[in-house]
Amino acid sequence: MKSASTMFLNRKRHWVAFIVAAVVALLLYLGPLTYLLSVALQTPAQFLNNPVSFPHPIRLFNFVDAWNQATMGTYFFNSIIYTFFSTAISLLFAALLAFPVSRRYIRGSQIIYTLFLAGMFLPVGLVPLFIESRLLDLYNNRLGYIILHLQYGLTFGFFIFVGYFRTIPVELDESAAIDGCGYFHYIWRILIPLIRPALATVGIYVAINVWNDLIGPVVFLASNSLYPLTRGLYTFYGSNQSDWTLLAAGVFIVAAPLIIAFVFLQRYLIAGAVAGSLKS
Amino acid sequence: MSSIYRGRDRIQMRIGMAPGLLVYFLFGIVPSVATAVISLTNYSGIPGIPAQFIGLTNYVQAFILDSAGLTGSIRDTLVFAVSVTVFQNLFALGLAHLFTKKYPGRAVFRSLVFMPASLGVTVIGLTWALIFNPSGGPAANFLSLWGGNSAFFGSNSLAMPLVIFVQIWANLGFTTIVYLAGMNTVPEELYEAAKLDGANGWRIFRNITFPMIAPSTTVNVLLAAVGSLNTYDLIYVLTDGLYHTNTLGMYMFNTAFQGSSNLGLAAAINMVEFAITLIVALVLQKVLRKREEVLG
Repeated sequence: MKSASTMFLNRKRHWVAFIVAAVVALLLYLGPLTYLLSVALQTPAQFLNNPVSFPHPIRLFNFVDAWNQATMGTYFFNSIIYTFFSTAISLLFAALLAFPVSRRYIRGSQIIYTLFLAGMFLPVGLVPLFIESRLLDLYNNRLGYIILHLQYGLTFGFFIFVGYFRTIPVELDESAAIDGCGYFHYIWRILIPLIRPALATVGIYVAINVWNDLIGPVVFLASNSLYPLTRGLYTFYGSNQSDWTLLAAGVFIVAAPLIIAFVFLQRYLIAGAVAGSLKS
Repeated sequence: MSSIYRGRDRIQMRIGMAPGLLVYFLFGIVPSVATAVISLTNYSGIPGIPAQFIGLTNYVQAFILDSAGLTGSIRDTLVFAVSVTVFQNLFALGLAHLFTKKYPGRAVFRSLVFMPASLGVTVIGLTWALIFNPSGGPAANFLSLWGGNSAFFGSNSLAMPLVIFVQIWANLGFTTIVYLAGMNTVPEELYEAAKLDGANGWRIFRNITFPMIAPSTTVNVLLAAVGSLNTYDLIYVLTDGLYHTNTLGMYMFNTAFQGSSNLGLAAAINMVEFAITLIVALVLQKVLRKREEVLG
């Protein structure tokens, strides 16, 4: 029989572990962002004197300055265009491909599935992609950038949708076909709404990935006016390396929408993370 | 395989599949295979200068003529990948274990640790660059309390540990959540039975939880290993591969896109990276699956 005191000790030790973990988590995970905001609100003079101090006076102008100097408006616009279109198009392509493969309506379904599976073990060929972007005229233009970012959502979406379509009874296809519902009409009006939960999970996961991609814009874009936020911010960093109050404001402008998005969408991100990990 | 779709519907089905297949072929299969081909050429990527087939010259260059660069890069890659894989999984196991207990505010802490998943390498990298700003950031202040100072990301000895730290910081939440999902599937009766037998916390974890979540461990170790072997975007922001943080991905990237723009050599380095990743993945997969069978 375990004595009551040992159990109490155990519980006490758990609490200690929890409190230590909580403090470390706060310090390591909330700390950096708090400090970022604090620097973003400081005057350059205060930052030079004592960077680890509460902003006094609070200087909101850093945000205006960073926004204008870094032409954040253009970058935001580009990020939104790139993310929206490459996510939407890749998921549409993925669904249109996953449905017949999942149902084996087409000869070679198994081959297509195996090819996609094999692709996960192949190297990501950044060098060939760069050469292709030049040859196919996808280099340094918005449409090309979107096309070059379809691959990720296509593969991830394909696997998730193949699994999801299997949960939808075949009888639904049959009765719709008997009622004279055309194929595209059936996909768009009936199937897509049915897989909405999977669309949301995959879509948000893919969108965050496209939005945050930094290597893509470094390799495939050359004009400042075409940069998304990631590359825009990185370029801004390169040209203002010592002006940390301005930079911190810039980083915060980029981080804030991501933090807000995270608060609202984290359950989808968690679902995506778990689904993605189970697939591999 | 017969289908309910005939005539116009069947044509629509094929038309619908075409763009997905085309994208996958052009941007999935072709680049993967083409890396090997390009590694045998002297392609520079400069328009107007045609590529020539030069056999294994790039590999000779990488392995023999510039062997210091490659061996250094392989060493950096392994140090980075092993440290990240081991510590990320250890910390995540501990955290996930804590999160299975009903402490107040645990959902908030779980979210907090998972948040970097949405931030992206640019925000993450620049935020930590600010923290480790050598001229008067919080880390420099802290060090100066003990009379020390460091260039942090610009230091030969500290850059790598710090890059490892930031990589783990960024991905810990993901690994934790996968472990947590595994722990939630362990039947409660097992724990109750163990408690009746008088097992304490550590023994319960070692003999029940850890074996039962073997599939999660397999996934997490594989993803962390393959992911860290191929990481360079975060390193690109933090150190640009300087100060002994030149992982193979970083080496490939800088060879291809910064300065020399030697795409053939970069492709050869990419092939080395791929070979190492493949070997590590296959060995880990075999070991971890065997472990699952023994435990299952």
